[in-house]
Amino acid sequence: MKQASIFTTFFLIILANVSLFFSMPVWLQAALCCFLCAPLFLTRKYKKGLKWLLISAIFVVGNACVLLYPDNFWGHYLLFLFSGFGKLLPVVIVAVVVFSTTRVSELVYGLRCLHVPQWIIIPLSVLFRFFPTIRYDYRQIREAMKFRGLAVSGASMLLHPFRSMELIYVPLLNNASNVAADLTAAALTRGISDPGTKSSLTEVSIGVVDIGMVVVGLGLLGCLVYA
Amino acid sequence: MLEVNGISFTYEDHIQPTLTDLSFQLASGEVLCLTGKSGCGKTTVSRFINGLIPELYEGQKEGNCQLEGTEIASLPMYQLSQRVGSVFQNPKTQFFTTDVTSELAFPLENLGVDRERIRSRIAEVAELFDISHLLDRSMFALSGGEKQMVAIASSYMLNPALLLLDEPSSNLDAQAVETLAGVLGKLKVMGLAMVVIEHRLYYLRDLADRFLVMDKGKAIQEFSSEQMASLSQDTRQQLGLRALSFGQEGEELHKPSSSVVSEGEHPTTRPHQQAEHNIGGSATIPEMKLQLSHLTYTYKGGHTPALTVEHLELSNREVVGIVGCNGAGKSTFARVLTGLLKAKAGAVFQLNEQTMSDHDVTRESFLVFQDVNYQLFSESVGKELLLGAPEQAKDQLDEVAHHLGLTELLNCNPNTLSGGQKQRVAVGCAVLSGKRIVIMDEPTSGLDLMHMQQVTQAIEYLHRLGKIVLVISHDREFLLKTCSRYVTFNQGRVVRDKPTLD
Amino acid sequence: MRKFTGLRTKDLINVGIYSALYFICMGIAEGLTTLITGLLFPGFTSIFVPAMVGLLAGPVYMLLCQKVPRFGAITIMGVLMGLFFLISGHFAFAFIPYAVCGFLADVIQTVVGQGDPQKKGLRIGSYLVFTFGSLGPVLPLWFMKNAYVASLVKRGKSQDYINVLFSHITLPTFIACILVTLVGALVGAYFGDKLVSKHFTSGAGRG
Repeated sequence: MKQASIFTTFFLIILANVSLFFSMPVWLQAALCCFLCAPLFLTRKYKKGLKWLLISAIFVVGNACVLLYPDNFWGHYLLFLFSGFGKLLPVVIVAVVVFSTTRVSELVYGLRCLHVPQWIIIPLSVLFRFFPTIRYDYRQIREAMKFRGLAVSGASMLLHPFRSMELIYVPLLNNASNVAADLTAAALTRGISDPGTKSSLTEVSIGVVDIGMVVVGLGLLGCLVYA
Repeated sequence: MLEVNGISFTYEDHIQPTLTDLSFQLASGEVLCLTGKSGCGKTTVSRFINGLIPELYEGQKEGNCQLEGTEIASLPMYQLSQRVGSVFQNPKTQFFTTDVTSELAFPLENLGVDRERIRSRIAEVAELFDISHLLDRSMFALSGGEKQMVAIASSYMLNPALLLLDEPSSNLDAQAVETLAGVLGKLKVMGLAMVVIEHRLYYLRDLADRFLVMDKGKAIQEFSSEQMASLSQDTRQQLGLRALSFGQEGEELHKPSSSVVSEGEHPTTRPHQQAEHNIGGSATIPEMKLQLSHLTYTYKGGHTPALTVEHLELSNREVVGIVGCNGAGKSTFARVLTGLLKAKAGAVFQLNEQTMSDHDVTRESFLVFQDVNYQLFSESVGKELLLGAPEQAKDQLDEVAHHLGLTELLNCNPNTLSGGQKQRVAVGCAVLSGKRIVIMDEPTSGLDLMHMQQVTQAIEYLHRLGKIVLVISHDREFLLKTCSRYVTFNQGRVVRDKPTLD
Repeated sequence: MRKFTGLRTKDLINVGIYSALYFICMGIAEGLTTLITGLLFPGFTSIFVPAMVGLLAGPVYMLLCQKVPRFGAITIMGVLMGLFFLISGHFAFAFIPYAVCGFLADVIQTVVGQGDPQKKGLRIGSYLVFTFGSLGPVLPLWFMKNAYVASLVKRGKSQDYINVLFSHITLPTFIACILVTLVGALVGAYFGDKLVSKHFTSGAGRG
């Protein structure tokens, strides 16, 4: 089955955020969470999908049982956890969906279609491009620190937080400026500064899945407003 | 096709000009190799031609470059990029997107080429470069050689008239260099003009039509490929060039020609001479032996162990070269040996018969990374050398700095040093923190002859101090100069352990 | 591009790189605070996050100021952080305070201060303003509170009881939040400024 397009993802983000403004009956909360988990299944991320369905189930059940909690500190704790935190669940699920089903090229294409300017798109693409590098760099730096016997354990890191931060930051930032220079050279020699309209290899077609998702989503939105 | 007329350039924060009045010409379909010592201005030439000067690097420029009759400076960067493709040194930092397909599409997307044409061009270029199987893969999952291949492919997407390659081989292993040479050969046959900037010359022997040797911003010699091949060893070394063939490498003994060293940045670097009156030193230092038994390591999610070493004995009487192709387990071995990766239970590390825990192993050892930048934390070389070292190391600071040619750099910021100098700083750190086992991972990648010789000298120094020294390298010229024993890895096992390389 | 003609490709790429680092700081800050406070007060984590972000991200911000001393960089970073909130499980409207704070911080640093490295006071001030942008995610507390109140009402608690319960929580927490953020950002700013002037002057790290 074809996965949902980036525009549907944008729609889901809006839907989840709108849901924050309404108070939902339990059944609607359950339906909304299930609905938002759907893209995970559509992209065959069954394990992740099931995990989030389970989490949703716990919160929904927890929320349904508000009347059962005792009237003491723990009761309030549970109450706050389930009804307060549970409220944010749709937004969290959407975030999971965004991060596990969206490709950077698709996101860039989507943003371009929304006429987001180049001065946002270039830094945004660089940002995604740079994340894995930061992770790699951090590991290398920690290993290098081990050889010098510097802040080897977590405890010694907490004991001298500023010293440790300095040790990690210096090579990290040094590398960052090197990467920035190299990336700029690579991007410029590949014509990034062309002022004309950019095209995109990524093709986003609106399919049955998208229409279905939007229709169900709008339906849920209707229930939200009238419930 | 390309005419470079009397170009000079001074970077905005430099006093000395990097280039002075350089001229050369390139006929269409011709391959020119620009070579010379580090800092001779080779890279600056490429920046002139691909327009990064003045777009990215500012300074004072003179002279002009003509590409097929058009003045380069008159073209905006994005138009120039359609005619000149550029490939840079570091495969890790020159891709802009996160997957191979997007990376190939990127130049065409920037120009607004329509989707169908992008698609067919990707298929065509991927075929040509033999990277069709990599399409859609994440860039981060590729090996250095594969990344470099994608970089070349991507710079070829716009069908440029000229391809500029700035030390494309410096981070690649021997096998990847061979693939690189193969692809460049194919492009040459197709009539693409190329300018290759390189230290490693052997793979360009049959590829380049001409070699232009530069020094201090000027062209000092020009050779045809025949002249280059018949160059005597002395002349070659005087020019500061690396070996042209494997055959030549073996002949060279430990004799850094003094002219090369004295022309370098630190005339004080003469550990070689110290070696002579210190020569008895290593005999008086007691032998130290590291015994490794039952080392196995399996990566998370891996089915077969990435490393299996039943028994290996290392001694400070020899400098050991760790060789083997990419993915053979050399780096894993270094990481397990230094305690960065925890070997499977049952592994035994014995230093002079004393069993060591993982912790002790890390405390006793030092790994000089291939990318040494991650190991530099301080604002000055002096502080860097003492960072993490015991109190009494202060007294040895001057001596160690002297031996490694760092005396004049003690107050510099390590980040402003050249690659070779940074490497020597890391070696100094290992010495001052009293490490007994030092491993160097690809210490010569991207170094010219003089810097390579300085690394050799640094290794000799470590050896004289009685350290157990291991060198992971693909660089035959360098290995033959430094090591007295070669341990070859394949699929995580030691398959060969001999005092000769072949 | 019309609005930000002052920024070149090089600058935009720098902004991307430093935004990534800033974002990581935010992630770490969130992780750390959740670890420390999360179990005690679920949901209140976000009160301390801005302070932690302020504490950690100083060097990143200060280096960005040094690398791109032109108007636009900080604004874009603010917008990017806001965009991230938008799509990353925070409350979408958190976008607005970040973008606004980014813009204000940018004005302080590059318009009033003209990106002058000598003007340390202004730079620190602009960092404080920028850090307050990360208060956005605190907003959902309001929704959480509403949901919580609704569930209390559902259980038949009187409105008075609820009022008493929350009169203690909201105002002092709010003030504490502001103060803690201010202190965190101030410490982070000084630390960052010191680190950058110690390690990243004299042309170090020039590409």
